[in-house]
Amino acid sequence: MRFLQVMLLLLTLFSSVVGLSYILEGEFVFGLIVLLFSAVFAFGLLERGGASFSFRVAHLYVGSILLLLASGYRLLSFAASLLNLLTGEEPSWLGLSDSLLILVSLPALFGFWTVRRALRSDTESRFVRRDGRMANSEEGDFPTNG
Amino acid sequence: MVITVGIVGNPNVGKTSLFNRLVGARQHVANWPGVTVTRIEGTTTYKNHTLHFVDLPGTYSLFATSIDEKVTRDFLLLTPPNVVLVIVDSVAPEQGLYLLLETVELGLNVVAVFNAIDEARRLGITINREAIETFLGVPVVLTSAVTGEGIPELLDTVVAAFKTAERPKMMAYPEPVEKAIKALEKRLTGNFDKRFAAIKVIEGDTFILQLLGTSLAEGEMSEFKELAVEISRTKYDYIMEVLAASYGRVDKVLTITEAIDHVLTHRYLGIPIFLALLYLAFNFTFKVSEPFVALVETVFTGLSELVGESGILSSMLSRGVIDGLGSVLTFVPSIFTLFFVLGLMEDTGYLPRIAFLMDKLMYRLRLTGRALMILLLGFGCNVSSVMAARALPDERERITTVLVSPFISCSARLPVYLMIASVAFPNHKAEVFFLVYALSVALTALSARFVNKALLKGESVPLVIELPRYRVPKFSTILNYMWNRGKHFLIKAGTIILLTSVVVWAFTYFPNPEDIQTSFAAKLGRSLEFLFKPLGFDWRTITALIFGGVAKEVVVSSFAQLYGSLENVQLDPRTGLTLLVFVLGYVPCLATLAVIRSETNGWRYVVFSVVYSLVVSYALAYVVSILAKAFV
Repeated sequence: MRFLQVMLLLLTLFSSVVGLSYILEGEFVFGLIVLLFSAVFAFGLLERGGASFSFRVAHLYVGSILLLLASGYRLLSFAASLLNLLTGEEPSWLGLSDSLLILVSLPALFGFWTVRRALRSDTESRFVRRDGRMANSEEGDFPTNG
Repeated sequence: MVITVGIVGNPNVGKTSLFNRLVGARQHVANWPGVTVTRIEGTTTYKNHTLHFVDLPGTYSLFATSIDEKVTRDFLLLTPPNVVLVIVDSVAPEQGLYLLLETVELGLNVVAVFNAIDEARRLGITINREAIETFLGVPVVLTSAVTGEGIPELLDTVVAAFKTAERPKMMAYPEPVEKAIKALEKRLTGNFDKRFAAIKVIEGDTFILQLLGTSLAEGEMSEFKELAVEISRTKYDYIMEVLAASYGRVDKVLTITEAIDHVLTHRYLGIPIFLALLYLAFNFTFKVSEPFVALVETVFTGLSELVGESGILSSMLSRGVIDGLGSVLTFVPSIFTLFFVLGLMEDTGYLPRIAFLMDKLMYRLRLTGRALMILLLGFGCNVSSVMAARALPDERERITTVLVSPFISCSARLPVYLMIASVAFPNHKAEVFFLVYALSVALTALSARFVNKALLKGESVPLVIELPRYRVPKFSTILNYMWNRGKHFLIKAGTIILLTSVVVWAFTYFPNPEDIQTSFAAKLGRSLEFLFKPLGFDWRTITALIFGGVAKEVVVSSFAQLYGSLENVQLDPRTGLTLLVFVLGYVPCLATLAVIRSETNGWRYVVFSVVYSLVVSYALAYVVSILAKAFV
């Protein structure tokens, strides 16, 4: 549980910084989108009740996917803009905010991968019970296959 | 020997994917229910047998309510195939087994196909095939349309089932139901299975009653109502028994789909995430396709210069064909990229969630999320959404969906938006696109409300939709989606757009090739200038819009010819915005009008569609023009 909360908190903070950085760079709409994705992590922290563990896992999982999508979109757009060189135009280079976004994507990738491994495991029911708590320990660390 | 094989199953269980595997076709498949609304046929040869497969629209029961479900029921009932494949979702088999039991009752040669076996295995589900075969008395094949697992075995089973004279055993109902069935069987006449007909009569199927030319007494009807409940209960109890004996599951608490759905259909986050993803999709489309658009443009400009304009033939080839058609084809990379992105969203299973998210709002407008899903098809082509409205069981909702479909921005309008956005808003193309699409959805929804209030009064039926599982998108499926949608654009370019471009050229060339200001095109546009003056449109824009009534892409080719090339087109932001709004809704294209006529059996709704769209577009464009004058 602690691992989950730390991940959600860190990703909320990091992605908020990236979103604000885009807004300061003048990319207002994209900045807002990154801030919205950071809200997905933040809403995870606000989950309360019996099934809060499961729901926090869900927020970490989906928030990470969205953040990875955002950075993938920037990278692919940059890669495609390299074709501009063929027509003699300048490609759209990656900026400071893009670099920050890609950096934040690394913990998001880690979060995504950890959750995916746990959710897809055949022995999942050993980790997450119907009440949303972990079954093999008392609110201990985040479940892994190991 | 030709063996006719019907493919039936619940919506979105992979019937069309399986059909594609069996006959090597490339029919459009999607990860949401209601994609197939008419029957699709294909043939293959296997072990000296010709297998003729018929892919039928998805249905939950043979008690058909919507037009597409009736297609399936009528096919099985009136022209029974030699073998019927009932496709059951291995992960959630309950509804599929219900349909299977009904098909067995019809006395047909049934094969149960448990599809998506790979997904079931991944989720830790084990299936005891022998137990199902014993219970149901039909051959069972486990397949995966995605990996191709079980396909050769399925073909073998089809041939074997065709050769066998045995029919599956019927399930028995409680005593009072059996008594009523037997009594009815004696009264019924007709060529199809009497037991099946009797069960359907008890269930209150009026179609079967009409077909048999029989009617029921008042007392019988109320008695049958209770028995009908008993029939459903017995079937479901039986299904639970079958599953208890044959299915083993790991009791998962939080599946991947549930985790994703918790956030993507969140009451506060759901709609903003949808809008954000849509914006990213548009932006991605422009950024990725931009260099390719520039390349295609360069090729066509070079070709046009090479041909020159000396003489009538060269002029027709250069301006009518290369400039006219080229200006439309320039946007092919953008259109294909957009379809790629939409295909990605569709194949992951995200699109039905949008219907779920929007259902509350749509209900207020007297439509349902189900209608919204059909309307989303219109982003490809309005003809598709008008036809897909057959899947709606409520006639009032079907007609409403047919009438408002033309307001959904189809792919034909994409080149026009791209042209206007490039000229009038070169630095805010994605934002403009986002606004146009949002306006398109808003206009569709408000029109639905108006149509319901003015023409077709009534309440909506609540949305009951089975949300498909999320899945990792398959590259080949997305490419197939992109090609199926995009090829219509290419076919149109080679036929109707080419033809209309030449007609536009003739209008600009005659009577005086040297001066376009005195051409027939100029005269045509100027004759209507007084009507469009409040919108700020000049004769060139008006002429382009007139020809665009044939097919919307023609607006672009007309602009290219009337201005000499797209590079010469000049639109200030105000006129650009006004034109965008006008193009969004003004008159459906000829193909859409033809389908509206055939789907509503008359001209009344065709005339309404033309007049209503013209009036709404004009009024809205006028408002935008005034607002733009004040703020831009």
